[in-house]
Amino acid sequence: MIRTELTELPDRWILPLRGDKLVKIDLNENVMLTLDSQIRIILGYGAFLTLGSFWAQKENRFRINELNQDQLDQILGSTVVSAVGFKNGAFRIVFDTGWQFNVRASDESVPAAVIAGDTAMWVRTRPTDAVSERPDPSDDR
Amino acid sequence: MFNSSKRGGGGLPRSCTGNVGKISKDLDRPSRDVNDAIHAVKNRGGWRGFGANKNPDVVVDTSSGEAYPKLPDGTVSDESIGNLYDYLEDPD
Repeated sequence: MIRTELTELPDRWILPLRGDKLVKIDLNENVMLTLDSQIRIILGYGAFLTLGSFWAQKENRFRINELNQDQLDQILGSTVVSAVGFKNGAFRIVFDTGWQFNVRASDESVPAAVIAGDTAMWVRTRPTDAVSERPDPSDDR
Repeated sequence: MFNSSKRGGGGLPRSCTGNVGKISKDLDRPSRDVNDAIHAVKNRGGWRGFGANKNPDVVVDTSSGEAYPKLPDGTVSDESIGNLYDYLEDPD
């Protein structure tokens, strides 16, 4: 059974992914993270990956389009400890190993969605509508 | 950062502290935000404290944001009561 209960706060939804393990990362039109619960997280290539706090890692922020499959696969086996979809469009998912993906509200063209079965648990931009842009890695971080 | 060939093992080691100043520095967030997030974790549903103590001290693993309560005997619980990142601001 897939959990779909979200906790709503004034500015965000806390998504019920805590405890799920990351089992697969597919690089296609967008990036798809598959959890052992079969919940899928779809991110555009403009999402950021950091090891540790996004704010603290200003010099070590990587957009996904800067990374290859082998680098991303190092995250496999990590367990979700926090997943938040913000009402301003930002998204963050944090793993027990310290890895975290972030989508900034200001990166308006970067899609992000959490899909449970056939249901969109949280969507920033409908993935089918969004063609992931691959921003220039030299863009302002 | 990407030099580990071990899947799921290329992360950060746990780095636990109860010092709000260190948590604030490690996360690069204001102390007030960190304090607010700690209180939000403590106050969330499902966490009932230990007996009469509903507001135990906690330590935070700054690599993952996990919060662990200090037990009445002074040791730290292995069971997390939640994660600060659920309550910290968005990444912009």
